[in-house]
Amino acid sequence: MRTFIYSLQTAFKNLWQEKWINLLTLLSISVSLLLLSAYLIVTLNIDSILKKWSRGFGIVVYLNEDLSDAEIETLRGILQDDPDILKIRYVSKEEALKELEETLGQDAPILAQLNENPLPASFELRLKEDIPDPSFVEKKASEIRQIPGVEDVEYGEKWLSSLNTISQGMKVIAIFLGSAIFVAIIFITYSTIKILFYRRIDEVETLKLLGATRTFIRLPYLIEGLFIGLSGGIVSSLILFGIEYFFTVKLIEFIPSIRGIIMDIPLRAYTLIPATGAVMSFIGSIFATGRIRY
Amino acid sequence: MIQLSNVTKSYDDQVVLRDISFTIEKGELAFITGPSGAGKTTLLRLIYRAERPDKGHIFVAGWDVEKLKQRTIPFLRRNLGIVFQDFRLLPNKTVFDNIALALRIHGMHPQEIREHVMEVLDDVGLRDKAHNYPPHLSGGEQQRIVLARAIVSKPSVLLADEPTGNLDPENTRTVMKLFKEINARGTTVLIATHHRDLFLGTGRRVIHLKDTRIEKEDTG
Repeated sequence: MRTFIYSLQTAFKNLWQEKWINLLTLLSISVSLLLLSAYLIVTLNIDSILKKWSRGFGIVVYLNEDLSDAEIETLRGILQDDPDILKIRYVSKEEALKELEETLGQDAPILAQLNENPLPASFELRLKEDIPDPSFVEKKASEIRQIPGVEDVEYGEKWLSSLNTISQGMKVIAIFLGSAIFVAIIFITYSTIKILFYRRIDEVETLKLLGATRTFIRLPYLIEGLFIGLSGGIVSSLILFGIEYFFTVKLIEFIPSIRGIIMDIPLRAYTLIPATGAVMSFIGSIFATGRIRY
Repeated sequence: MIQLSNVTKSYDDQVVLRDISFTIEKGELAFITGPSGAGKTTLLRLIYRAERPDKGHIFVAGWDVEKLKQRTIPFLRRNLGIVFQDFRLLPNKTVFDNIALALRIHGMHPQEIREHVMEVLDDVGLRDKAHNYPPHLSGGEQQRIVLARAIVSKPSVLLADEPTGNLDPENTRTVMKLFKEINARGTTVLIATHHRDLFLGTGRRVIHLKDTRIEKEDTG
């Protein structure tokens, strides 16, 4: 415990002695974390918009003309048993015509020219996943197409494929950017602590000769790294809070339509950013102090 | 207290020490001498385990030095006080903090540290310099601070490598007097020096190194 208190005092003395290099490191870390957080928030917002759009997505299963009520019920039973399907809505021939009439509006009288209702009855299916993988939907559609009584299966292939590409693309970029920034933070702290460590190499050598353990020698530097990362994260969180405040309180007064698009940043994110900074910097400091050999 | 048997050490195929054997008894004050490059510093480095011998065995204060793992080396060194010609004081710490460092490593209570440091500063006659920084002290004063730092944790062995190399004759006498006092309290002292004046007429054991080997042993 005394060693820890002494290390803490030494760490803060060192932080103050080398304040400019430490401040620069702290700012670099906060900018990196801010970039990552901003990107993740934009991704989450876009993802939530995509999910909202995709709520209209479904598979339409057109039925054969001559199916009896019992056969339709059997078909419903088969679809209901499918674990990938969330919701089923049956649209009879009459309902389909009515929906078409509503869609046509003023032009609806055209339909009166028809002698009989040409529209087939159908099942509208909603899948469990909001933005399912296109190949999965294609497989599902062809499975359903094989069920007796099914005339055809339709779904918005191109639309789904575009949504999926955007969503997957953003996730890939997020992972790539996240990894790059994690490495960058580790490297930034590593370089700073390495410089500080080597600037005090004479002190380290003296400590070794006096019988200091590795922990005693390294602890002040690890605390220093941890503090820089944590502070960088806190600065980043504060800036992010400012930006969120601007968007959700100020900007929304002028452009109310963005209300549905902007997602609130969860409180957890504000604590997660400093924690990430602290952990990454701590790892950087561990590498920087290296293996001390006597 | 210090025992070397058939120790050989070489760097890049060049032998520095060959087949060295001697024993320094508990409470003894002895000298190692020889011309520059005779291997005096290497011998001390082997004793405080900054180097490992190629052959032979070294025992210090009950430790089999050769078998020590990296993580146990600090605990050997806590039994040793080491004094260097170039002082190795930390310029950005006060005299008090330089000496206190040796006790902080032991995890000692701050009040106890204060008492021990002031006591040892009294011993070396520099109590009034406690809050000065090393660069503001003379060479003789700095070496006395190094001695104070080396003995503050009451080690069983004190090793010194050319401790008077940078000192004038008067400071040399003061420092040597301190070594004798420390030895008189029971600490084993081993001093490496090429200055014959330090051991001549002392009646202490002197180990002469020459051309990588022990040339002879006599009393100064």
